[in-house]
Amino acid sequence: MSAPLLVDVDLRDPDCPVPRTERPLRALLWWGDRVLGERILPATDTGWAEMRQELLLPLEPIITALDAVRPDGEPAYPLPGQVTVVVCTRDRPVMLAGCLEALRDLDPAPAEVVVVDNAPTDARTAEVVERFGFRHVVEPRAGLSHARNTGWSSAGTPVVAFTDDDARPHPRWVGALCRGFVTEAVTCVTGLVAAAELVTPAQQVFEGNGGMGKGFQPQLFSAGDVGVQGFRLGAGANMAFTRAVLEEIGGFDVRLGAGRRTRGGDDLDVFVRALAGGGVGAYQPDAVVRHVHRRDLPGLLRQYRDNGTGYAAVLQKYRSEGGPRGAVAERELSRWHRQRHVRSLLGAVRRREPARFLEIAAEALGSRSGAAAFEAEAALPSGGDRDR
Amino acid sequence: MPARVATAPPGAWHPVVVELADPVTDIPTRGAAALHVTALWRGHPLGTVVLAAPVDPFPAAVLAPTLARRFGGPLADHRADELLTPQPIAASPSLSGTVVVCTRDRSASLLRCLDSLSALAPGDPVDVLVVDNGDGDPATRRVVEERGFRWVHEPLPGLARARNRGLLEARGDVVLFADDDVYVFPTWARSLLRCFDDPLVGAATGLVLPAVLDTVEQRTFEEHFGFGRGRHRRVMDGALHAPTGAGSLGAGASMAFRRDLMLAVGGFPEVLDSGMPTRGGGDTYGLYRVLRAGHRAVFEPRALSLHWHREGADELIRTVTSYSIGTYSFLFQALLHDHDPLALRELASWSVRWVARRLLRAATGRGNAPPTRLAWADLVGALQAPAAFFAAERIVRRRGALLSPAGGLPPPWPAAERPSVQVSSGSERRPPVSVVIPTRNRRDRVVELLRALDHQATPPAEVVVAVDGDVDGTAAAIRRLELGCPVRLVVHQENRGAAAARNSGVGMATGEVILFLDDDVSPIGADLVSGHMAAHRSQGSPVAVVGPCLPGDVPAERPFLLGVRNWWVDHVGRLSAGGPLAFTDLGTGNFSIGRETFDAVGGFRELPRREDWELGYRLQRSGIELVGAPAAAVEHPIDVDLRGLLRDRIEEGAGDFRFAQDHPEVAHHLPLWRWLDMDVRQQGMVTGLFLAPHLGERVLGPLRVRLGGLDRLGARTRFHQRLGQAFSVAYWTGVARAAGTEARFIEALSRSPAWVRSRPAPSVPFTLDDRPWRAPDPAAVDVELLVRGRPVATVPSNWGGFPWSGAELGRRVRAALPPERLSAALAERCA
Repeated sequence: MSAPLLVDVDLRDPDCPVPRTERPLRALLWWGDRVLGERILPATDTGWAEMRQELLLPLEPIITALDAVRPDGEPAYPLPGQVTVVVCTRDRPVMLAGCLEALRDLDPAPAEVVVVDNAPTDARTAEVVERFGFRHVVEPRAGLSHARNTGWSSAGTPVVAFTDDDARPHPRWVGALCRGFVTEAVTCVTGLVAAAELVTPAQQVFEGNGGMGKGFQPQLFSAGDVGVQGFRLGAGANMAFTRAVLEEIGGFDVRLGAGRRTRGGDDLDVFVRALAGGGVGAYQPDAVVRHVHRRDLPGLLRQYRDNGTGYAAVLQKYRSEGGPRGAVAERELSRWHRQRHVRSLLGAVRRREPARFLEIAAEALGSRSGAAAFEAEAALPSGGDRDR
Repeated sequence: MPARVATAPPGAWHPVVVELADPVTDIPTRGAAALHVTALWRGHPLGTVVLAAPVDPFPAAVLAPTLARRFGGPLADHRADELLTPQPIAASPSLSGTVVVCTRDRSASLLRCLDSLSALAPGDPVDVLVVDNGDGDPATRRVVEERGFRWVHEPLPGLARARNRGLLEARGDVVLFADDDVYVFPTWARSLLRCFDDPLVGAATGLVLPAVLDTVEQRTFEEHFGFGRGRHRRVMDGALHAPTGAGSLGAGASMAFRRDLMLAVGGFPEVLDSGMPTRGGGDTYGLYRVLRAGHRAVFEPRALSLHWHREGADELIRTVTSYSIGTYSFLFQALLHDHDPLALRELASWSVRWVARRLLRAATGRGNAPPTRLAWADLVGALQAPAAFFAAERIVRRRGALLSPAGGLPPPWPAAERPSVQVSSGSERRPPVSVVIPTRNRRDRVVELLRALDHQATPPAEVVVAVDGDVDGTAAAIRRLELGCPVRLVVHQENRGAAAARNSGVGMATGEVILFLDDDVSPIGADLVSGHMAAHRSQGSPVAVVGPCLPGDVPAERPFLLGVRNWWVDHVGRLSAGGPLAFTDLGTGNFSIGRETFDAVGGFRELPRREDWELGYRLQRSGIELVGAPAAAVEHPIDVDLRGLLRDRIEEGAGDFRFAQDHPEVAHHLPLWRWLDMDVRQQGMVTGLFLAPHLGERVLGPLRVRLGGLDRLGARTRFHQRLGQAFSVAYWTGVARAAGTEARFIEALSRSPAWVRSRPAPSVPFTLDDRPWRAPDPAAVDVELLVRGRPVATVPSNWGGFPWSGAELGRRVRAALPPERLSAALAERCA
């Protein structure tokens, strides 16, 4: 089967451009600025009008309900002009260019886009950023959490949105993120992460394993709902915080994150801490970011391993801090190993799901070094100021 | 919703009800951890969802899209319903009701309940009666009477006793029971009362939602023992379903009963329910008793109320034990008092499927496991039940019961439909009506009918009795009669069939209007003749008038007789609904027509069966409308037996085939058209019957024996399954006998315009906006549904004529189109 083409389709628009192609289409279906779901469209030569009718059919109830069920009065959302978008990158100018292109097309546009160049080895990144006219900030200390901290501290707006250099935000991303801040209590908003391309086998394996999607149902989270499972909110490719909460919790933990020994987990940790002070997390599916999944299989396995290491490091952090959260982390750790690394792994073998097996096995392998990696980072002077 | 001020304890769920047709507002959560949201669309519950609620208030901006995405499907379903349902849902009920609240020393919750009753939709024909089953506290009485409600004191303890007191003191046709710890919604009484528009409905229950889910115990109760019964309206028909399953419909916290029916069966047994050692089961028994009488019980989710579940762990365990004792006691009562053998089966199945399985689940932690203590409480209740039941029986025997069963049940149609008897003035000129009565071998009944006709408010000008083969001296008995109106006699020497007798009778008659009556009917009230005349006079053009034939008393509570009775009641209800009638609605038992019209269409064709439909079809084809006359009612006894009914079915099959041969253009309205929808197995049976028609009767013999056994046992579900099979065999035996070969049968069907759908077939346009519609083409194949003049869907007609009423049409349209397609079509075209 040829690789599917990924498109956005607005069902409300009778003239929505849909490419005519022999390849199957995998479409995010929209109704105006609300996302409805994802469908695989058959590669047919029927016109858009007929295809639209077919697509509308099963979704009609939801659309009818979305139109019929209206909130009474609109809450006071932050404006897109009060948002700074922070992109952290490290020696990937080609990948970054794709991201910046998407950021250039944002409508409504944010106040500012800050690109944090993390421990650069050459000037290529600076050149790309200059081409797009965004602000370029250099963070010499290696580590994604250092870069993110530099990014938000240099922002002058009350809301900071983060995305990755391998992500491609949807043009209405910032507007939808703003609508996620439904009340003053919301400190953190995450959104839907969909695939940007599904070309290579590795990408199809990743998406087939569930990808990074969290579904199409809006949700609110309190600290109690999340516990220590930051991944329930989302991931670093698509998140926004109030600047106030980042200041209050001291930003991202520099001992965690890609570029450190812990290889990740800074986003999961910041979700948990952003809610700890009574804040609320909101999952807003309408805020869509497309993500370029790892293209090669070794890269994919590395990513799975890093996920395992990162989460194990986060749990180790909470355990070492002690307190009630430490106890929860203790239980979570044993649950994680028992349920996921033993039961789910055996399940994947029994159900003959090699892709799932590889994912869990890589994650389990990675998780073994997480605790040690965190301790090693913690032992570094001044919280791990390690130059490249 | 009642105001809530207190804050919730940690981990609490906050139950709310959200109407999606109104703008969704921010919802205060009282600091609860989660919202337990029940979504409504114009009063219809769509479902319940639990949402984590970390902010107070829960923002409408999140709630609205979440509920829209979650309940989009059911919501679209209801919107399609609204478009297709002819009468507005908010129409006010036709029966009056009395709300009875039984209370016992619970003044705080009683106040809340009374406040909600004060807010019932104004204009509903409802009054409120509070039965104080406690010490008759004057403070309670003052509180009740301040609100304009009635108060009575029932000093003897027992909820059943109090409910019976309420039944006695109530003034409405329907008694609605609400517990004193519920809060009812303003449309509660109306929604329940509307269920009783169907005359066969004897009981209705409402949806009870939790009011508070603060404690673990309350959430456990809601999950494992809650009153929720889903979001779909359900009807249990006592003739078709086992009455012992009544508990699946609801509970006493919110239910309603037809008052005369409950009084006739002796009310609620005082042995059962709280205040007695049995501690429960009375509500279920009430529903059981209604179903056992062959009536219907409805679960109506639109009748909403809230219930305050018990808070503490000990209270929860006591409640569960009570439910268990109550359930067993209800079954003991059904077994020992009503001698219902099915109660024994239900006892076994309840013990195994409910009590034992819950214990097993609690022990293994598998499935939806309840806490172990509750599973034990179930078992404890089961073990205590026998002693409790007999102790309660001793108490009731000592003190005596308030109500006792009256002999016989009230007829299942509203009293209003029985016309009042008027005294004949005598001076009025006799209407020019000739009554024609074909009879055979029913001397005494005919004589009785003639006497009754003579006592009509306006007696007919003459009566013609056509004796179809005088075997029992009918003619002589009639000649001996001395009546006010003249009686003529026609006697056929040999049996030539009722159609021939009717034609001969008309030949003798001199009146302008001929009224055909069967020989076994008796007029209800004194307006039979005048009712028919009024129907003729109210129409500008000549019409044929069909009066209702109401079934008489059911001699025994047997599935067979109850099924026959219910069929008749439904049939009459359809005739009186006011919609246009199809030729298949014409029956000859109570039917009148102008003499000229009758002669013009050529009278009855002398067929052994289906001469009624055949005449009806010729009438409709020549543009003569069939109309109903609900006031001109007769009663006919239910004295059929299984053997006779099956013989009738055989003859109907033969009659239908002849009908299809004579009038192929309407063959698709006949039951034999179902052949096209049969699966391979059923078609194989039909082919077998065509190859060997005598096989049918060989099969029917043993089937009938088996049916008789099931009937005596009272196994209603199984009986009706088997009866359907037997009917099918008998019918196709008749068809096969008349057709001879399958090829001839198919040849007859193939001449119908509905045979090949691609050929442009005649269809009837039906616009949703203008009802009722008139004078349909009887040969039409489809109904073309129009919304605002534009076609939306085409629905094939089913056998038995067109779906004339909007509600029936709505059902067919929904059956033909999946809801999303319908909704899309309507939305697209209406935009």
